[in-house]
Amino acid sequence: MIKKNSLNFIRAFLCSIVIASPFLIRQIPYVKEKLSNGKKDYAYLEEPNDFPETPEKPSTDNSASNTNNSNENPIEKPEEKTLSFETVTNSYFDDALLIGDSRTVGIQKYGDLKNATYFCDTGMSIYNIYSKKLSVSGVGKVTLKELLHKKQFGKIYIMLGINEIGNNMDKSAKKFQEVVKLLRDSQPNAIIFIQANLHVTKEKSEKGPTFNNRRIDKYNSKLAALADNKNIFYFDANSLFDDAGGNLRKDYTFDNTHIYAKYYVNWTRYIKEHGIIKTSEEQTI
Amino acid sequence: MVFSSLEFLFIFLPIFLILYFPCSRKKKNSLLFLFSLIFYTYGSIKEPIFILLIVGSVIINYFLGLKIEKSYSKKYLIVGLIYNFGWLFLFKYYGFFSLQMNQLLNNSLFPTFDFILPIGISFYTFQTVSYLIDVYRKDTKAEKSFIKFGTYITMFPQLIAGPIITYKSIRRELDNRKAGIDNFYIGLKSFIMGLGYKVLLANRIGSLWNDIQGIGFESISTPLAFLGIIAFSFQIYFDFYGYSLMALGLGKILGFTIPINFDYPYLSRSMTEFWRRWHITLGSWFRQYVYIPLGGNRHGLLKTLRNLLIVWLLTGLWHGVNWNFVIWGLVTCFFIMIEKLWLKKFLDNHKIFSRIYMIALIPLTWTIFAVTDLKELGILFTRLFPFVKGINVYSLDYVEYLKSYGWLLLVGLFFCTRIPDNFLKKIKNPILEILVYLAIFWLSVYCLCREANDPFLYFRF
Repeated sequence: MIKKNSLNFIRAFLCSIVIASPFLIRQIPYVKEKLSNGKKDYAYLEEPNDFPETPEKPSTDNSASNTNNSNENPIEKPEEKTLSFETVTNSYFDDALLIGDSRTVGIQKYGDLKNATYFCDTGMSIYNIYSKKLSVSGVGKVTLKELLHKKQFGKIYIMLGINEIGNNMDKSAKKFQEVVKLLRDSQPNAIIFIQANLHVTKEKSEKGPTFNNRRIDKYNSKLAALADNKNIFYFDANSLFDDAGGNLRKDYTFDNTHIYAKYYVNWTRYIKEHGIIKTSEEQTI
Repeated sequence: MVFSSLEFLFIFLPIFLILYFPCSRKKKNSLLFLFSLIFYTYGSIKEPIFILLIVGSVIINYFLGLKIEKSYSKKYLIVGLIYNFGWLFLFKYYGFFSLQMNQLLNNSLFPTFDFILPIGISFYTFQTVSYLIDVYRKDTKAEKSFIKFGTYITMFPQLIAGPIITYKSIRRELDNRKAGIDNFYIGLKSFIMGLGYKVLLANRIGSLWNDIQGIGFESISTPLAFLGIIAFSFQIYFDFYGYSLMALGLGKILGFTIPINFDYPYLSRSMTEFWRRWHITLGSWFRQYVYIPLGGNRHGLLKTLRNLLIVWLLTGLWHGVNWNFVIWGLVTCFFIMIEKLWLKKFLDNHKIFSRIYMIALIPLTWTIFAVTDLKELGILFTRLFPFVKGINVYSLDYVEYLKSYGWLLLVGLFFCTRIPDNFLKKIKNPILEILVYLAIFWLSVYCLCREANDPFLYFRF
């Protein structure tokens, strides 16, 4: 009697495996690799021009420290009346909105900008930014568009990119530009700050084709290009957390990607050192 | 290759089983030996020397066993102990030892190497040693067949993470075992449960502990610190219990009776009881080959306490090479000692108190186990018992973690009791039984596929 039950159990189990096997085989990493031979998973790998070895900057190692200078300088050049970063106090953030992924979530929780408004979520990318419905303090559960419709901000900080770093970079940058445009159109009085994506550690950077600091730097440079230094500004806080090689310091992180909570105040201090104050005249430009 | 991987489940295991069942009794061992070596090779492909090490271990111990049986001279036993523990020491302890000695002597007398630990060496060394001692003690005869001996040491169901099986307990099944439909059925069920524990519980609850390490211990609130160590306690249990269950199930499918390694340890009402019910095969190894030979509890209180201390220092070091493991062993030993002296009687008579005692003690002792850096461990304890202020603590952090992990922790708690197993045993309807197990299996596979395809599943930014 037991034997019959056992047999049926095993039969049912094996049947389920046989039925599933066509799907399963494809899931096994080795087979998957073979199947997709020549047909890579990541779109960016198809585009040779996405990996130009001719660096735009002298070398990736110095990029972190360079980006600050190279991006702050142009602010002063194109305009007669120069706008430059200056240190601001916490009240500057009363009418600030911070948009971003888990790193911005970190700022919200562990930074000292509690008075700002946050629209951030772990896993947020430029591709899912419109579909996310998040609870924003004082507003309720809203999508980004609803939030922008409901409330006007004086400053908007945006930092996105690490979640989409595996995608085609030009596509992502274009999407990013669209978001920035939306921000501009819906919030004409807001100063927009694009923040560079933070690096990962050397260990993590060396592991994968996707998550490396070279790609992060490259994407950051595309984002930097969106700044017009009139209404849209760009700054890069990587120098706070990088080691000499331009990678996230190993002793600053457990997961090779996120800084420890205690370091977020360093970051918010840096943000506060990069405020832009417009005189009323400039605002009318 | 771990059991909870798609390669093992859908390539290695099916191929092996298809070849295994039609085999004659004699060839079954050869096949198992061969496949175990393949299994091991796959797992240590980057370090081919490890395969030589285990094969060498099989050969040397095979001959040593025969030699010991011939003369019963202590000489061969000692050679065997030195050989087996020598490798273990070299790979596992030497790095730590040399570092400490150099620090102590303030020079670099001991050259330092950075060894990678060969997979499973802690487990198979204990098996070979138990075999040699048993042969020496005439508890068992030496194995005459090289294939059978090799099968015993390397068999893949228990090769990399136990349970630790003694030769005498499995000897008969190496000769003659039944691998029938009924065993397959029982074994398959155990395996599926183990897989579920590992993939559906351990992996998921574990990410809470991971998150907390990501935040940094100095910045977590006290409630979150407790949630974290509770999560770690569940993770380590379901991880190891799940693995042991899978081993047991695989063994059953092949016709072996692999001993149970966990007996609802979290239901224990004293530390002493806990360690009889957690990693049973390790405890029994230390009892048989260390505690009792030292005299056990037969030579007065002082010697008993001394023996306990030795066993627990070794148990601590077996689990890992760092000071925290030594401390962990000593703390555990301390509680077992005071239980032996007077507390155990009190605990036995006070049900509610004993439960509270264990609910506090289990996660707190695991905390010492979990954090290898003593400084970090100290910080974590200042968060658990917040006499010192943390840095940059977000005081409501635990609320959201409770929201996302609360139900999982409850499920974990539920599966620490006997209720789920009793429920499964009570299912008389064969169709319902199949459905339950299929659901566990396919849900686990689904999660494994997602993990494999989406490296960011548990790692989003």
